[in-house]
Amino acid sequence: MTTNSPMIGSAQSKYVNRRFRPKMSERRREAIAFLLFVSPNLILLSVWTFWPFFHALYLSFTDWNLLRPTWNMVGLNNYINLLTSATFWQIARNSVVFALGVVSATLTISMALALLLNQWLVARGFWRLVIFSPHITTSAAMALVWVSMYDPKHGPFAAALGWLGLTFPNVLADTNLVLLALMVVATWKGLGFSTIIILAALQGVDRTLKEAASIDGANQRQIFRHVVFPAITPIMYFLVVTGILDAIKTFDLISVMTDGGPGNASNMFVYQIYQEAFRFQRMGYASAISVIMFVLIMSFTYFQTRIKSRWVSY
Amino acid sequence: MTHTLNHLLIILAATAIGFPFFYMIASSLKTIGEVYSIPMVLLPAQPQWSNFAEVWRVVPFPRFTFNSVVYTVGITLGEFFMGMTAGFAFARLRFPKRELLFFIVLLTFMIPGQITLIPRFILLKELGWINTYQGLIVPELSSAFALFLLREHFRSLPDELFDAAKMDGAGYLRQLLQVAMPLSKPITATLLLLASVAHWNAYLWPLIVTNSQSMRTLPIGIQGIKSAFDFPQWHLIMAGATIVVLPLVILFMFAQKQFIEGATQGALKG
Repeated sequence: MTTNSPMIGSAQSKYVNRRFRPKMSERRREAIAFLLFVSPNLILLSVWTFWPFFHALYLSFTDWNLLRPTWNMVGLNNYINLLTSATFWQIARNSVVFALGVVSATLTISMALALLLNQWLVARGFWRLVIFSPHITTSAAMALVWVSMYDPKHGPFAAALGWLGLTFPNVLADTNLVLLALMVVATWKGLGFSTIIILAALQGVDRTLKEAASIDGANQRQIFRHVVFPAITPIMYFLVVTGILDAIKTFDLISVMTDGGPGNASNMFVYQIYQEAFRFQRMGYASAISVIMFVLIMSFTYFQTRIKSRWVSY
Repeated sequence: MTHTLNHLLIILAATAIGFPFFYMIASSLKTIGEVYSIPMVLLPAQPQWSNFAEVWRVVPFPRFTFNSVVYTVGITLGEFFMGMTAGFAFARLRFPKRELLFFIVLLTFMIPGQITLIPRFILLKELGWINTYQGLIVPELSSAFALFLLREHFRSLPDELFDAAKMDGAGYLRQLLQVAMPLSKPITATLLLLASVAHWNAYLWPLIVTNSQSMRTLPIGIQGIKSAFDFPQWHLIMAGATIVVLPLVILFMFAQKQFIEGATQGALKG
């Protein structure tokens, strides 16, 4: 701290006499302000994210069950049990199928919708509003609506197929169809977001490039293939990556619509963590699932940065 | 010709995408007989507005609504305030190893909430915060999105403004509140809107933190309408779903621009 010199820059100020300020250098005051501004975040992050993260790692090596007063370290037992259980592999398979299905369906439909919205349309704002709206609605509420729509007797799908003389299967109770049924809902929920993002990317494509290609005799298809699509690959890439990560973390739809069933036909990681931890109180085992899920997410994130340069053009 | 085709296609797409909303609202106004008729009836013969009053009585709806409002407003304002102060500090205040610290914060944000769920629950239990508002709100207050976007925004503001304020003797809090914030109205509106919607819709976290009916938020509370009867009263369930979703739809209609800008901004910057 400096001695009695007046503070720099504030000598003429009307605030200088208002309250007593400890005399210190500008740099030091700035650093203290920085800490004051940042510390609420740092404290909360340490307590509610940093510590829980390491504690989850620790718990995954214990057999802690909330129903029992004591617990033991069990080494890799949880992981071994997990990796040798059929349920785990079923969950992993479901997640991969679900994620790939939802992302490819969402992006295909969104691309078509974005190209459509990029044309001249009457009331374009209104169409955009309708298409985007599922994105902002409550999954847990709309999942109930979809359960009702999937009703094999009283729902609209049953009515439409009945009109054609066909019967609509009870999709949520059918091992082969239940995952597909959830994929439809997730796609419906997600396509508004990707459509808006792709639309923004399309509108950002340099007009002169398209005109130049068109002067060189390229048709609409060729322009899209060789000019427009390469220009929006970074955005498509972003959508693929975030789409896969979101899909793997799906919880609301499973919890409301199927409870992971029938059997484990629609079970995925987060729902299984929830079940093991909060239904069966097996905290150690559930933590091991969450650690494996974390490792999968991080490997995917790492892997995607490696393959990025292969097809994304900047 | 193409124009007609384009319009046909967009009408088809919008009908398909909008159908669940239409079905939800139509069903919420049906009688129990209409809900269970075979084949389905599309519209109720006589709209049953009383369904909304009934669902309000079947489950503690006013309580759920109050909880949802406290939860949504609490986190939204809290995380905005934290993102604002920390974003300002990381953008404009000098500190040794600031960028390294920011990088560490970003890394922490990359830890998915699913892995921290169990230890967080244990901590809440130890603190006696299960079934409390602080338990619902406090652990969720740090937001990477708000911090990141506000930092970017504050960095883009011209230095001269802050130098001038400093010359006038403004402290750092005044620089933030009286210089930076008045220039941040659009981003503030966008962030508050997106955060409100996200927290209004939150399901997993409130499900873990609360187990008493009186502390449930709306998305969880309405699940209870199904089990309140021997067989599902779909007209009441749909009325419940409508009450949860309708405020969002209305909000969205009025603030479409902010929502869409917010979505694209997050994507293009992230």
